Amino acid sequence: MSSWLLQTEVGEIGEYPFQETFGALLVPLLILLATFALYYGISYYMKSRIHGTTDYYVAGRTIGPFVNGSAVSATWESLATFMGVIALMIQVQMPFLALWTNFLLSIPLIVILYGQTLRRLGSFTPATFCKDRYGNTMSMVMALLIVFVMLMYALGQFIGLAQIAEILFGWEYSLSLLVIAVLVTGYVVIAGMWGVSYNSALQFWIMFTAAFFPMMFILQDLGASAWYFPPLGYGNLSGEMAEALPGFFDMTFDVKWYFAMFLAMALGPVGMPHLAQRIFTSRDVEAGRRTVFWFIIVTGLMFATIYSVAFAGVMWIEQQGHEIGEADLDKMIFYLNFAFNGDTITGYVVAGAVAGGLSTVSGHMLAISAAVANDVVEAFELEVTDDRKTQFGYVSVIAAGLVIALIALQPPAFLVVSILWAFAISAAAITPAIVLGVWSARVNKYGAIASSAVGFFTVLILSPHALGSIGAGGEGLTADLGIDAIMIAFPLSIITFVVVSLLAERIDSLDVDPEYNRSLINEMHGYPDDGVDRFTSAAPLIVLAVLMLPILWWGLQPW
Amino acid sequence: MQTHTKEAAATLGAALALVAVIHAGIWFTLFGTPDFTVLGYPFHYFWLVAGGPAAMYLLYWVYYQFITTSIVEEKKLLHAEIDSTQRADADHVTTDGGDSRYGENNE
Repeated sequence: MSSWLLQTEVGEIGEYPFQETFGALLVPLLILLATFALYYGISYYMKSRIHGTTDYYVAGRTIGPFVNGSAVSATWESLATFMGVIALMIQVQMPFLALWTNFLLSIPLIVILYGQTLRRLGSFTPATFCKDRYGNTMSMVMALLIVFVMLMYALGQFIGLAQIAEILFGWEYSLSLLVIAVLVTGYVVIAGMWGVSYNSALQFWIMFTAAFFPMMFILQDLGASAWYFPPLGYGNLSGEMAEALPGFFDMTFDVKWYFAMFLAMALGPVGMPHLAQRIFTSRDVEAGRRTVFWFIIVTGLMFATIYSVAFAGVMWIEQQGHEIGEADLDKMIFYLNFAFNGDTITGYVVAGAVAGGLSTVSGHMLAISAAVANDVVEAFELEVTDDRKTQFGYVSVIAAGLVIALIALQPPAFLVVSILWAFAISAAAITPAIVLGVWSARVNKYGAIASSAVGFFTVLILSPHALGSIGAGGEGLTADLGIDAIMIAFPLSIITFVVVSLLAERIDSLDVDPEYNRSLINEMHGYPDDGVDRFTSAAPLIVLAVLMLPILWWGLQPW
Repeated sequence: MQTHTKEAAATLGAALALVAVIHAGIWFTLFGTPDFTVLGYPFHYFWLVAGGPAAMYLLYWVYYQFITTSIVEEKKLLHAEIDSTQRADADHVTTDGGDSRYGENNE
């Protein structure tokens, strides 16, 4: 599989019998500059609202459902929506659609499983929660995991954005990267989550309009009967597609593949701190819950539109008889727009793609900043004033931008190919610690630390990106995405969590007292602190661990 | 059933139902695709693109409208009970007014 997500080198611009880059650059450049002026204007306007860490990391917890729903959607979608998703849809076809739809589950699951409870608790990141729930050591472990996963994720965004600048302006890759790093870091550092929240919401609507409206004209030219509604307007072309590419609608893989994909692609993003942090910005718990409605509507529309781009791309290639290199399939949305809509509209599409990258990477930078400048400082119990912590926040955003840009200059191959694989790490090492910590008073720091360590190292060891000689049996796409590794790592992580937590209770010297968390558990779930023990039964944990055994056995079978 | 047990069961049920509606498009296909089209699309393609997300919206609405609301109401009652008990205890022991945090409601 090859896409900007998985490329190890910046691809050459190919020679095709159709327009590949801008003929006239002035108007597209003005469009792009106008969008950046807007982003900086919003950040500058929001700057005056930064009075402390709560403002910097969670926008003072003031964001309403519509703005947050749009912002979550943009943060969640990323540059991949315009480039990687389309390329992978063209290459992998139906299985990738199933994979990506699983991703859609993550935000409702975050809100239901822990977003509303942690919002009630006033957490900045999952590491803040871990400090309250498990203590300083686990908070440090979680902060390190957050930084690792966010760096891997942000790296791909920076590289993708730099590649767009490279294609657009013909600059050297390193110069493109430097410019992108400065521009992104600049608008994030100015106004923290206040600026990022409103910018991300705006960026969503730029992304959506840049995908939706140009596709109307492309679908009309391709012969779609309901071209005026791209998300569902090309059904009449299904027969033609089935003839041109008979396997397009096939599911290809077996049940095990889709089950493993659910673990990685639905439960992985559940642990992603930049998504959780967006829910923590909600003005109250109720607003956090209502955010999901807007998220499903706007993201559903956006994704359905993007699928139409992939569909149209395949139709166009087949109709015209073009042959496009795998690395260049990432640019399909630009090729289609050059061919059907011209330079000006393609300029706006490029602005949409850039908006996707900016919204996600700004979330990553703030998650890294919160983990380093807030959670690590608190874990060491340093005497630091709120003002000083906010200043650390500014510095750590700049440092995050610098580190990501430096790694992106000459990225290690395994980091570049592993954005989606990072989801497997998140699913095995982050998600269990948060979700079980919220819903059971019986899990403790010993179980959490052991579970995160087992989950992280199992995915790492079985990954083709880190230690190629040891694997979990999958090959190609299955191994690249960590789908084979997660079938072993996730059940192992849960079993470890439960067994170690319950054993630790029985070792007197470890001094585990399940009642220690009683007030915290009651508070986060909105119950009165009435001395009643809630969520204290070990039975659900034991059932969960037992359910993991067949999954583990299944994961160990040959692929 | 106690409120927190109800809350945990409802949460688990809602999460599983959400996963199930999305995966329906996959399972139907793997165990035998319904041989019909919707708006011109093969059923499983339509389900993953539009049917699943629409069903997810509907399910979440049910969770939000009925389950969450009823549990929030029960929690409010628990807070009120504690509040009134404390007030009664405070009246009984001393004439000073209480400064309870139990009445706080983050909903």
